[in-house]
Amino acid sequence: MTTETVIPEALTGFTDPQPVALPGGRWVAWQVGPEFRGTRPLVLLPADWQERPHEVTPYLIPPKVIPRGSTGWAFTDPLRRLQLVWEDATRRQETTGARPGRSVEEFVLSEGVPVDTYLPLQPWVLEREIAISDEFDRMQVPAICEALGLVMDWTSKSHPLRQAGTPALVEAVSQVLPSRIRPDRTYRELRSLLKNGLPLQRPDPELGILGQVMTRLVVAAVPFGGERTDLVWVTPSGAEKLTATRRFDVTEADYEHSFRHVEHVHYERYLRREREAYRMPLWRYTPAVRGWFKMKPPHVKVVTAAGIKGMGVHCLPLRTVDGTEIDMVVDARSVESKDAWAWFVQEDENLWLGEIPAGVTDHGPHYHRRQAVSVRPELHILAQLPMDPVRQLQPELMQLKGLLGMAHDLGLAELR
Amino acid sequence: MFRLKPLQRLGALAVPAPETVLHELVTGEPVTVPVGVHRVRVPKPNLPVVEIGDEQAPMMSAVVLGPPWSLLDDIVAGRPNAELHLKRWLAAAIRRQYLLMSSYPAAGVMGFAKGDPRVPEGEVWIGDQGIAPINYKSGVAIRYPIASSTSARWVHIRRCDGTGIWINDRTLVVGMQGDSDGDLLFVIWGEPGTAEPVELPDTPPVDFAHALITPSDPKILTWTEQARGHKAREAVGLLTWEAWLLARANADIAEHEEALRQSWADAYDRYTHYIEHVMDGRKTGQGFNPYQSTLAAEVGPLTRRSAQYGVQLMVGSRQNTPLNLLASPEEILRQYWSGRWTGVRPIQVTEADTELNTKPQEVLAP
Repeated sequence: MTTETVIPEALTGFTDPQPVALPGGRWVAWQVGPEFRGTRPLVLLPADWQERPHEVTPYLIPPKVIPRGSTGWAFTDPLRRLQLVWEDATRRQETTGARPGRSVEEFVLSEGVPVDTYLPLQPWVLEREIAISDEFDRMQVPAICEALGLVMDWTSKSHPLRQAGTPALVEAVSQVLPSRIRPDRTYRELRSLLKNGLPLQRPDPELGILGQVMTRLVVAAVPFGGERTDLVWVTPSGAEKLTATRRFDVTEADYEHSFRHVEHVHYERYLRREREAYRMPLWRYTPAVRGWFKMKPPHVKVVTAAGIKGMGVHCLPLRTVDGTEIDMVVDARSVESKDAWAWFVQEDENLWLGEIPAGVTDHGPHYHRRQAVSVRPELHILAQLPMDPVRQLQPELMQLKGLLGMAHDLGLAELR
Repeated sequence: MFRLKPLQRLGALAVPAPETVLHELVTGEPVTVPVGVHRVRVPKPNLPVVEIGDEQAPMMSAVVLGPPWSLLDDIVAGRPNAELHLKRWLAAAIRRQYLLMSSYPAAGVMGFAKGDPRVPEGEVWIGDQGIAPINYKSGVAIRYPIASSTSARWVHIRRCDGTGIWINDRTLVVGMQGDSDGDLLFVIWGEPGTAEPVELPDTPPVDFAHALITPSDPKILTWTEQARGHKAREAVGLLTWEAWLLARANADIAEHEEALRQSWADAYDRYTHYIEHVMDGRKTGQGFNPYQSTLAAEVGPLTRRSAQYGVQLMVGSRQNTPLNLLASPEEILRQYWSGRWTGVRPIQVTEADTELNTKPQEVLAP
């Protein structure tokens, strides 16, 4: 008799998942991705993932450099760290009433990164990165990266110097890059494109695995008038190449909030059948909506492998004198600010042309909507807003005064 | 079971009032209330349910609604001064609402900024996909984070096809320190009216005056330079706090509305200068030394630690409000919102000191 291993659909994007034993029983885990210095990232799902197939978000815990030991830092394996959390809490259980299961839960939710499964390359990127603890001063990071052979340029924009790339990752990505680029300006945009890039309707086979989210475009750089705003102008041919799909599968409330106002959305309503964790034998039915919509320039943000990025704008069809169709037009000053001239060849006095892989990220139409913003006093003064803050409080005050009125109506306040 | 005569009239409580907790208790249907753009589920509280009624009146389960239950218990039990306590509690709650109000929500629209020289200054064109119709002809355009005194300004609203918010390039880049690579722009609705439609451009604004571009080899930073550059970003929070501190200190001694506006504007404009240094330091690898910042040097040496204490002081003094009990809470709130009230006593300005308004830092020197 053979034991069949069930690999959940949520792990499809990860490389070579191997199940591992975890203490505690509330999570199941797989080691994924290529090995780096004897460690592999860990991907965890709740143990009851088969009973809640729609809401399962995999959590990835990467190998991490933490401040420890005589050298000041230690490179750690996520599985070993998780086991130590369990052992530590178990030891403390008798004396302090610590709950090991809860400690593991806290560790997973604080150290793990939720992975969006509708983004094709997000797992691929995340399983090839090493995390660096926040507790280090940023000036310590170069020495750590040098000692471990990590690539520091592969950093995150929002949490700079807290993610380093493995050499294998940077080598794989470098296949599509020219040699004379500025790594610190290029890699962080490229990381954002690969991690957040939406699946293109027409993948580019020439770019291999990266072709799922990137396609080669003919880009023209010309000097723009006015200030440099980094807008990119996309012609109909470019828009066609950059058409991507955005899938969603959310509860009805989330749908109403995030996707209802998107034009041409394809969706179906259904009842989600799921069982609460550890609550036998009740099934719960939640109204949910799943579907997809097209995200296509000019209503999206376009990111190129050259680091040039911007909000897309519609542009008339354009061709060069020899008939080459231009897919995108960018400001020459944007090229200059990213030091990306290696991608371009000068065609004319004011025209440079280049073939650059580009894609679209998960920003765009569904972020354009009515909002309530928080207005603070300085904004009130600077913009000379005529609103009276006292008037803004009227609903709350009426509620409180209503309470008093209610007490009177009920005769409560007349009591002696 | 309680035998409480006045509560016999609690039948009035059993009206399933929509959008109240009572609605759910009576009908069993969950209640959601609109909070801004969200629908928020009202949690079912653990309310004290009492059995009421006697031989003459029908028996029923009822919930006592209201402020702290102990207060109502007092009333129900007919203790002396119960009504007075209730009124005091409500008055305190109202006062607290006023004093804790550090911001308020304003309705508007959010979209990605698209800067173009063909949009006239003082206008925004709002792509109406998903938000039509727009029933306002003006509003306040804000780019977050606010990095200068001109990051928020009144604009005329026009509408166009598609998504995003179009704005003049110079307003966006110079006035608001933004660009069009993903920056968000908010427009707070202002004057009601009709937003006129406008045609979007479909060719890039090409300008051959900029043709003097000489492609060069990329500048490669060392890792240490990069680390120094990224570390510069840590100064942003400190600088923001310094700007607030400076603005509030100057606002305290402003005598009229224009001087007040000017003090905030000056603080923010000095802040812009330093933020530009931080951003340049990040790109060139030179970094930024916050200890050399003179943004608000007159108010004391600024370090990360002093910022923390300062923020604590500001928040703490705002909550323990050194109240003038003769002033109405409304008046204090209006003062706070006009920037004058900071939780610190304003400095007395005499006629002879009028010129200090232009050099407020000297007032703060010991």
